Amino acid sequence: MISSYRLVLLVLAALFLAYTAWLLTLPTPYYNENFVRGRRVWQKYNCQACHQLYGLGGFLGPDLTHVVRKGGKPYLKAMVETGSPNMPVFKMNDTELSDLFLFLRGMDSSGCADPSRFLTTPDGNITPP
Amino acid sequence: MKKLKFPDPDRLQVSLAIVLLICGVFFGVMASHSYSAPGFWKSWLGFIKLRPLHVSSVVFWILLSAQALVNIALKNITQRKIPAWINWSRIVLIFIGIISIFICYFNLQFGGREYWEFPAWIAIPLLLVWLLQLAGMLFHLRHIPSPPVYIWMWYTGCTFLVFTFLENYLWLVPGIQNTPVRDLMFQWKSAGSLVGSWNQMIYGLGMYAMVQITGNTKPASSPLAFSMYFLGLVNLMFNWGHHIYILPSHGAVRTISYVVSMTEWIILLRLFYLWLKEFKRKRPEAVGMALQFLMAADRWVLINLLLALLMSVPALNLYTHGTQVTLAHSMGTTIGINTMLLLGIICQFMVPMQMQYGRWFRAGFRLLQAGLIIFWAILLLSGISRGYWQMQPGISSFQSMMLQHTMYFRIMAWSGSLMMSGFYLILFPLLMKWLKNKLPTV
Ligand code: HEC
Repeated sequence: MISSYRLVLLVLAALFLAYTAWLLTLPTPYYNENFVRGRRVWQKYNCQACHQLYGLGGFLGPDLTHVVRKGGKPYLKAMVETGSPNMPVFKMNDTELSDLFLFLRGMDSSGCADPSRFLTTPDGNITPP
Repeated sequence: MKKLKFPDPDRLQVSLAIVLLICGVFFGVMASHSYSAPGFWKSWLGFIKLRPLHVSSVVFWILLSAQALVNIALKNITQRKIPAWINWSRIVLIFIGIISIFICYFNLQFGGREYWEFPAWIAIPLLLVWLLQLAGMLFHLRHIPSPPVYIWMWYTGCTFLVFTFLENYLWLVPGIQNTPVRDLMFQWKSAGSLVGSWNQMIYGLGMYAMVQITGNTKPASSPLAFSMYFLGLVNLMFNWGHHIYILPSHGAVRTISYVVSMTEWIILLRLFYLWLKEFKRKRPEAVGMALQFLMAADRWVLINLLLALLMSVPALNLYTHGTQVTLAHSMGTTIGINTMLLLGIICQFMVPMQMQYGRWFRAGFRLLQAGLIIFWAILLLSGISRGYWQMQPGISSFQSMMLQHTMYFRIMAWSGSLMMSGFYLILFPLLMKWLKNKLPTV
């Protein structure tokens, strides 16, 4: 019995690794070289504690996936430098701010994070707009 | 000369984990108060610090106690000791890691991702901790001839933990997570599997404790037990996509996780039926508290799995994703299931001493359950309300929606405080007893 359990485990592990490898081969659109740097700025200042991207993150602040549409870089700069009752002020240099902006612009162009625009199918699944 | 006597490393680790839980609960309650009162603690301990402090403390409570309890259980099973250097290097690295994390957070030094928000270099001692743990466990493995299912769960859980932890740091490798979709996909793939991995370890421990309590070993080695284990494993491997249904990744990712998630209905019903039957049959007096915790976990498994199943239907997920419903689910899982199981197992491991649990301890248990149910329900309600708001774009601004939710947040903070008092009534005496209690030695 134990040996057949071992076999099942091995098969599952192989499938899992194959699935992971397949995910890594999927095409990766919306590449820009500042994306990675901007992502690190996002992490360095822990924006994720309060903000979401595609609905993932903290809930104290709004989702920022499409925030660049609101007023571009000046708006981002204003928010970061002045904060709000619930958002602290951050002291970033210009490069960090530019990278962060390009990171958020990459997020924005990658898809739609507004759940109200998705379509549902009878089997309970959804399709993007 | 008197010989210096060192405490047992695993016992020390469980004690540290309990201390982390005590801290984690405190940070969590403070964070929830800052939700309802803007500016609360903003000056010295704002939400930006409180959230990672809370999350890391409780994540390490779960991981470290699960690790050490598995080690204690393995020691009981094989009656063998692993080389002392493995244990002690693990403990030293844990202390280095935890202290560094706390120092960084207090100094606003972040840089990592959700759940692991500390600067990335701290992942090195932590990775060594998981590897040493795995090495210690492999040492025991040769001495277990026909392992019951909980042993399988401990080993696969720990192996996956190492895998997901490494995967979680893929962003450090240039050229992999360099676009939005792939970046978020891999982040939540590893975060989702991480929880699945520790669940394997903890559910395995729960099963081990149940076998000890009831004396019935059959449910832990039957073909059915193994089928359930494999079903759980399939979910750990393939259902993480339900965190990212709205991400524009390949459609197959969504469909695979939808289909796989739905198989959890089987686990839900089976678990409920089996454990309830077992609990009803035999209730020895001496393990009263352990059993109470395990039974509480059982109830929470039911409620949470039901919620998880509903949230895993993509069409319903549109209403719950990005809202406090997700938070209700993760609080229900980490407190209601993981923490209850771990506390139950800690109590069970003290059974040889015929522990007496006082009135305060029992009162704490009730407060904890009451606080948690209110907390969970209010998160669910506020999440549903936020879900309604996000499905009606333009209905009101983010600020006014949050303002309308102030009452929810207040109840959330006060029920959290209730839970904290329950926790403290339990944890302080438990820690004292755990430190004094003699563990079964080999
Ligand atoms: C402690 C929580 C917190 C942190 C950390 C935080 N924010 Fe905010 N942020 C908020 C809140 C709350 C709002 C909404 C405004 C309000 O209600 O005060 C907001 C609003 C914003 C907005 C405007 C959103 C809109 O839709 O108009 C931007 C842009 C923003 N934040 C960017 C950032 C960036 C960039 C970071 C990291 C450097 C960050 N925030 C970190 C809490 C936070």
